[in-house]
Amino acid sequence: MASEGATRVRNNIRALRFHADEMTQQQLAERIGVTRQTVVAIEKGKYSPSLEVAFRIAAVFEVPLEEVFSYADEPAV
Amino acid sequence: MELSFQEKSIFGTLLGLLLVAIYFFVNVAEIAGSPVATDAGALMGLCIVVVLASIVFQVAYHVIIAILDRRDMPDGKPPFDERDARIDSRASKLAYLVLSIGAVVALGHLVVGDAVVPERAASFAQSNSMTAVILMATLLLAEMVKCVTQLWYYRHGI
Repeated sequence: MASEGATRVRNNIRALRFHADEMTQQQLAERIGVTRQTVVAIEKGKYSPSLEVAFRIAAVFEVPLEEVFSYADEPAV
Repeated sequence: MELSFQEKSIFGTLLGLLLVAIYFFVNVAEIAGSPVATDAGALMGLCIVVVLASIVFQVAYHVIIAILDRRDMPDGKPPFDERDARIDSRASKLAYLVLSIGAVVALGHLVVGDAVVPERAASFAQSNSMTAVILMATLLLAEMVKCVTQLWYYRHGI
């Protein structure tokens, strides 16, 4: 999905949620201390979270940060 | 289209500002066209009414959406996180720019008007009341720019 606010930061949060007993966006939001709308925006690539929130997400799924986020040469389309 | 509490709040603020701006400019046009065109008292009264009406509208609107969205506020506070803060910060920067330009225009009107027309009360457009109108219009415009920018970032990403 093309968007002017799209970032180059890609993520696997949707897949990680699926493999974590189909964790909902609301459950993830509560565990990392943000709103569900922010989780939605991160998943869609419309918002790059702060380093602290990024680490919290990785900690929830118990994976290294680079398994959650990666940096692309081109913005997400 | 699902709206978050923040988006509903901003949308209501924008609506309130638009209503207040329409009321303000309709009344300014009446004051400007009346025989007491430079009546500062009338304009001051209008400004007070506009500010009070704006506050009452905002409080009433936010009470209503807080009641409707209480499910999303388990601790009784509106949800606000780092993304909201970042969007607020960027929108405030743009609103500050608009406010600065308006302040310079108002100052210019005051200073240039004095230089060109020593008798300031010659017409409403040249009066000090017009400077107040420019400032009030700038305040309303800056807030509206902030709201529109916030809604843009919420919808299109930041």
